[in-house]
Amino acid sequence: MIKLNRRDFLAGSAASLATTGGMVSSLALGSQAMAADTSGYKALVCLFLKGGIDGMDTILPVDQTSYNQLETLRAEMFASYTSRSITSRNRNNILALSASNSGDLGGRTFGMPQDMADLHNLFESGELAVLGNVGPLVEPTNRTSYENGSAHVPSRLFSHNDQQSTWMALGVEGAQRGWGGLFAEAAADSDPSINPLFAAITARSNDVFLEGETIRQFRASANSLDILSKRRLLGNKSAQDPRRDRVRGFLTATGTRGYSGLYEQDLAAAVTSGITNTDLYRNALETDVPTGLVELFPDTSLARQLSSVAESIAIRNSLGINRQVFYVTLGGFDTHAGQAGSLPGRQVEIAEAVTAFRQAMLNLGVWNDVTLFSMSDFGRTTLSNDDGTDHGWGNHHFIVGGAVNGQTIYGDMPDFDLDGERYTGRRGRLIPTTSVEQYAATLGRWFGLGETELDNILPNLANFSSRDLGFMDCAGACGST
Amino acid sequence: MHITSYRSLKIALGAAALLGLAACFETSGEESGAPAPSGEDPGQTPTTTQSYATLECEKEVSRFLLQAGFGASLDELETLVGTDAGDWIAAEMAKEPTLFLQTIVDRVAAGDELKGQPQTYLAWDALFAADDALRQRMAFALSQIIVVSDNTVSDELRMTYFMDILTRNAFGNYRDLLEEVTYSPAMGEYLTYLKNRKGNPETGSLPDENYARELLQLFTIGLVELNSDGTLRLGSDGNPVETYTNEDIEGLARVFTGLSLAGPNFKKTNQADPDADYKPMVFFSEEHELGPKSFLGITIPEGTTGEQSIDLALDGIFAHPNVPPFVARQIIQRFTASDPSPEYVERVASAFVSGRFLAPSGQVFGDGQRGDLAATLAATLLDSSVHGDPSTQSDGSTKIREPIIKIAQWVRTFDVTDIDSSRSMFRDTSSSSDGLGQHPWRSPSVFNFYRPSYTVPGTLSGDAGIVAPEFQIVNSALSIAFANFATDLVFQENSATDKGEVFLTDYSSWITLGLSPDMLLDALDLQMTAGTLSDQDRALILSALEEIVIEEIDVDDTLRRVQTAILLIMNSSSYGILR
Repeated sequence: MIKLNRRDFLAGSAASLATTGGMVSSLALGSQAMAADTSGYKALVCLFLKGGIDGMDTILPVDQTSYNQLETLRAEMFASYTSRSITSRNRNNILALSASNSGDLGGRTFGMPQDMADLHNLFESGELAVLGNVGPLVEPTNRTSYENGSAHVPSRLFSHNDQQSTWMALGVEGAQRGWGGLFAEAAADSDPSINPLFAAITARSNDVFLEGETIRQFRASANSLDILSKRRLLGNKSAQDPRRDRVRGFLTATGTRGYSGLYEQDLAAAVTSGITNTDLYRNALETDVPTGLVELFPDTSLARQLSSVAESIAIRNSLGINRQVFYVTLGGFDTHAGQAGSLPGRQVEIAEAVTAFRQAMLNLGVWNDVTLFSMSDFGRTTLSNDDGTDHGWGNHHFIVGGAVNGQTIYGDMPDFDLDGERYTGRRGRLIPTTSVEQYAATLGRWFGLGETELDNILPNLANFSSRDLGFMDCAGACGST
Repeated sequence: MHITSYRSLKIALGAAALLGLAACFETSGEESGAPAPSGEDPGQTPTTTQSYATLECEKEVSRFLLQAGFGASLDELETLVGTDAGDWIAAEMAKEPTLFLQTIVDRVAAGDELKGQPQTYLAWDALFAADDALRQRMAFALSQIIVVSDNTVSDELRMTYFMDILTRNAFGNYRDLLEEVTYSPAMGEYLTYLKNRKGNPETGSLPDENYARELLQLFTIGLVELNSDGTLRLGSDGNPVETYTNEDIEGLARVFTGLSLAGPNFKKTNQADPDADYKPMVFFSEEHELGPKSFLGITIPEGTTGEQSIDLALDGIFAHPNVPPFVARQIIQRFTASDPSPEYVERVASAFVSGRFLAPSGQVFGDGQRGDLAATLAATLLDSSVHGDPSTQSDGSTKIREPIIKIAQWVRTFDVTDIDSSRSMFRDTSSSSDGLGQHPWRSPSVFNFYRPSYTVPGTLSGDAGIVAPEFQIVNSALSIAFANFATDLVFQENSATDKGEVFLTDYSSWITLGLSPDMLLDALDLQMTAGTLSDQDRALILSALEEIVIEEIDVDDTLRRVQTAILLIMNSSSYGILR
């Protein structure tokens, strides 16, 4: 059932909200006086871990009591690690996080598996923060208000596609605008010098996170048209061969081209702008990317994507852009079975790719201007099914960058009392204590967005007391909480 | 100009003669169709409203075969005019199925070590060359609804066994299909219920919910209640009504416990029977949940065996009123219309329900059982709403062509020989930057390459609320990647392999036409776009072709004209959208 929050009811009629309830609101965008701070350069990089990463198998308890509790609740899972001779979940091997706010954690301590040793180092060096138990919420919710129905909660919890969409665009599948795209758009609207063509860049799929009102996401790619570049195809004439211009002219012809159909016009526009924009992008890559940048990255799916992001950042001046939002994804986290066999390898891939990305940003001199943060469909059940886990809700995430107030665990790290207020009544699904919108707002303030812009893009933000979780260092520029 | 082949003459004259034949696309006037065959239960009256029969002209033949198959060959253009579309469907359905498993089994028996994903080359080869075109299209359509990806299921025998299930049942019954799928180790592996154990009260471990959830959400009923025409059924509060709760998922998950590969016990497979790896899974009662299983208002009583539980569960789910419109809409989307009208969905869903479709010319499709896919598909393909005058088709009743189908159409239209998909360019076309964004039986997830209700923000169709699933795999990189992929094929780049030349094209039927770009475009427009190439596309392509000056009668230059024309048409929106 779709639940509406109080602000939605105030904002419009219930009937019109039946189809848009809870989604990112576009109300008043564009007509508002915009106030984004676009000085300097800043980039947000969203790392979306598809399938729902098990945050409880990423940020692990280290103190004996908590560890024993989790080991009891997940006996089969821990046995599965043991039977595979994987020792990174042995308590003695977990890399403890020496959190600066350890006093807030009630004597409990947490750590990362050795598979993420590189990220552990970044936590220790103050460049990485952990955000505990974050997830989609309409308003503060606990077990009592969830079970008795008094809390408005997001629709279609536990469904992959809908919760991916809710993390990205604050509404179930079908939501049209993601907060990443709207952040980029708010910055571009405030600064005419920003080239909107390259304000939102995906290194992989065209997910809704980067869609704005007018901003379209660009797929980073260095492809060129073979039909134009392979001269023999059209005959061995000079590079100025008019045939090439004719072919190119056809492929990039604009206008309706006699199409009355909307699909035809949309497709033609996509092909035309795709070719034109890619040409611009490729030309910049050829001149502006420092040698050795791409070579910093290992040959994995995620690293290749982050390598494309690094290239895009390297050519930011040629592209004429000082605020960018990027999107990269890694799949394979829907670990219903065989979690011990698949999760550690992916954690290694994340840690290695992020570490390479950090080095690339340091080399470009922009590590203080770039913030990478993780998102995922949902967390997973505390109770396992044999050697796997099922779809949950709240999850633990990380934020990394030179401007991150690291070495701190933000949010909440609930204990393992599955009968308590922090869990749904079944299977130990965490009820988030921090909302995605608070997470987004904290990033958005650092990115330069004003409070009005944040409220426009994040419709439920006002339902929460804190608008800034504190994990970003804005050097005084993002105001107080 | 020298016309050197009969075919060239035929298509040149035929195409020219067709220009301006407006009567071609008038519907045949079969409004409310023939009555049900006498003696039928009135409740089983087949739906025949709004269907059409005769393929009146070459353009209609071309469009129909682009919708239902992979385009029309020159022979088909010649022979099918004046024939009945239903006859073509019936003939296709009667063809021997092209299956996959046995080929792999034979190779293993012959000592083949099965290097390099033979299942994917068999899949491509079938799309490119199998005689049973309609069945292959339907199997490909079903593979996008009931998704298993060989990204995860890498065992060739297990994967081809699954491919065979969808191919064999392409014109069978959806209920039977679901049952075979449920027992298949491929789905068991993909959605992780192979060796799924019952809950353990001592440890708190509970059954894996993966298959239970996706079976409901993606394969049968979807998330919200539907009217019989596929539109959302709203509750008394004006909101959509969700079809299930998480408690339903937990209850249904108990059904899919205790399934494993045939063998001496749950954990070990039977070494004596290597085929157990891909053959239907079997129940091990000690790991099957024998307590009651409740979901969707159904309760399977305590003590019910695994096999009976699956029967009862699938029967219960299959009876849900969402199933016909949910499946019908997606079948339509894969063949004829990317955003079918509610009326169209209702007509096809009603054929799904009655299990029978009576075509205007009298053929009966289906055996009268709910879920009959032959009836469903015939109703989809023979609906007059997708056979009207192309210029007045509503947007939603046109079809955004899928990259894989475009490539297969090129192969089949241009007399390609030496088909051997194991050449490198078909090894993996799923990349969204330099591939096609689509690869047969290799979806990035169980959610397919695109979602059935995807709309593109900030576009004309999106603003009009028209869904455009296939646009989910169109982006700035893929526009170029498709153009490059097509360039390689059309211009015969990379045809040379270490196994000799493959994918050779005999353009000889078109080369003579290359002397006259106008006639060439007439012919290509007929075969590739069923006569819908827009005037401006045509003018732009014409001027590009005329830049290729033919000083003497030079086969290379005329060949370049032919190739350039094909490539540009393939990259035009007139071609990208089948209307």
